[in-house]
Amino acid sequence: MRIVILTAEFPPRVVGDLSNLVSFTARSLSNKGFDVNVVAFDDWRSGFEVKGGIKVYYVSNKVSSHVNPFTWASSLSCEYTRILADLLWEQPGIDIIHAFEWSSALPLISLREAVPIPYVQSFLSLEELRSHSNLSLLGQTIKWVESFSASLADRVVAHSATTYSMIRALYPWCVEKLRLVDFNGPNTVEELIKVYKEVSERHG
Amino acid sequence: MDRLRVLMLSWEYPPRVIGGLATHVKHLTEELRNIGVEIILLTCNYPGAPEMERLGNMTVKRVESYTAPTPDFASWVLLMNLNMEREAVRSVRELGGIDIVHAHDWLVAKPAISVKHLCRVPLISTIHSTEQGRRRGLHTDYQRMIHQIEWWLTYESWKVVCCSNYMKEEVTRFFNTPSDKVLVIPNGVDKNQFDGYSCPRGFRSRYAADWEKIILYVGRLVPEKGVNVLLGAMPSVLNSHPEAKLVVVGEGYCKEELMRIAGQLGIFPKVHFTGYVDDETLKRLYKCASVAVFPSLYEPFGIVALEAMASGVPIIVSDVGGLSEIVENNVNGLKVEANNSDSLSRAVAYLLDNPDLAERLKQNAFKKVVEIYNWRSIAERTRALYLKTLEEASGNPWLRGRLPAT
Repeated sequence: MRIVILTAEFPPRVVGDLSNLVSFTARSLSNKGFDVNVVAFDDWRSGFEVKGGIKVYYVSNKVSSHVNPFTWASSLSCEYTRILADLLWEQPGIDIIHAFEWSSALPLISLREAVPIPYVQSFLSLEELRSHSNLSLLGQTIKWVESFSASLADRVVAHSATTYSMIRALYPWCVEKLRLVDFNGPNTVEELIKVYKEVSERHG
Repeated sequence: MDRLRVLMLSWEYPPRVIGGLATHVKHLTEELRNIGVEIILLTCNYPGAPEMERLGNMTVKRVESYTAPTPDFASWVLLMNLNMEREAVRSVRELGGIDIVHAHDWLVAKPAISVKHLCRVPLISTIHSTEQGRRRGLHTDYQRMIHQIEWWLTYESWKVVCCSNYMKEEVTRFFNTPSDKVLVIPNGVDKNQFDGYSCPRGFRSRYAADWEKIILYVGRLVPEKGVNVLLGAMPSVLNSHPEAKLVVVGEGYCKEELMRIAGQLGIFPKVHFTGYVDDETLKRLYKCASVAVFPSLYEPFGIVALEAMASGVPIIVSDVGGLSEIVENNVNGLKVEANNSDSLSRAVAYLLDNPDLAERLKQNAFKKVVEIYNWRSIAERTRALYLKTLEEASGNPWLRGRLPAT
């Protein structure tokens, strides 16, 4: 199975837990025979490399000055789209696109219209949980993106029990497609593979 | 090739009119479709305007742009871009493919660049003005961000269109764009738009007394338009020509400041700030004016000057940017030094004193409008650019013109 992961953090870029989670997920999937492609933001790297069997495509933001995280993620999303488009054109046959956090979800909003590839959206946390100013206009913009991406995704994955509960509370309409894959649980990758299989079967 | 299919993106299109861009896109698309180009135009929604409109071989789609909250204008633009990008991809899918994507200004850069890569089509951009030019430099992160988005759009474009040589020079200097990638295609004006309009006495009396001569300014009330320079010229003009009356048409965040300046100069009774006026009123005002003045400090093109020329009113412009290219001094208008009230007051007085000169200037101006700034010829040049781009790109294996299959 060929998976494309979109992430704003991937080693050596480590900002928070996201980097560890994506790295662990990619490595584990690769070890289990998945063809793993990671499209990762990194301001200091560009191009492509194979790391332990994982194909990593580094993208940088073409716009370096920003006024808030949303403008940063928006301009970066074009670079994700560029790599995804190149993959779709040059190496077709992607089975699942998996976006981590709202910041990597933006390219999927239009890509959903372009190609019917199953899409999994992961949340380690939500704006509601991590930001004391989540009621600010910026907080609401980010929450809008979280909600919209959750509505478009085939499966929404929460990586902690707290995030899982919060998604249930905030977005009760997505409970049916919500899955808990605890980052600290014993069978993280097996549970994620189960999610991938569910989505693949649904798409035939 | 079969009919040329162009996906055009613009954040303004009537009835949503913010600046000159809406008028530009309206006339350009009208004439492009008249010469057989199929257009899908994506723009922002507007209260009362239909979500989708079919105009001959053009489809206008207005995308949702107001519902989600955003902290600032740039964030609003980028959120609107998400919806526009989504609709763009949907449109390409429905159509089966496109030949060109054409973006107007940084406000649609993101969807244009995404569609370019997804569909592998050449991107053409029109840069109507630049942030660095508008702000007289880049002073904040916000301005630097917009500047970099503008650069990004030009970088991703196969060809960049500017409306004047001045703008071409600005784009090549600010963004290091190779000059052979930048083309000049001017703005245009509809020469017939003033047909049937006159200046009825009852209408004129709302703005000036019978014995007064109207000096008209039309434009946004923002620093780069130089309205303060025009106000500064008025005491001297009124000293020699007490019959002069300045009518300032437009809105902008400097309006209160300009009204305060008029008060300080003691000319408030001789200045009428109309605020925003509708199209009909504006056309009549042009017909009532003795002279139209455009004292800009920065002007990439100056479409209002063209409108004044089409209306048959003599014009005075500052010697900057696109205005400088439209006007030939003493032939089809008068040029004055920018940011110089003395130079401007002398020109206004000179024109009011010389009705023969005024008549000659306006006749020559109208001739230039007809010969050079007509939308049909602009649309033909734009279509030629599309075709040349496709010819240049034709051997490129990257080119696809449709969405990828899975």
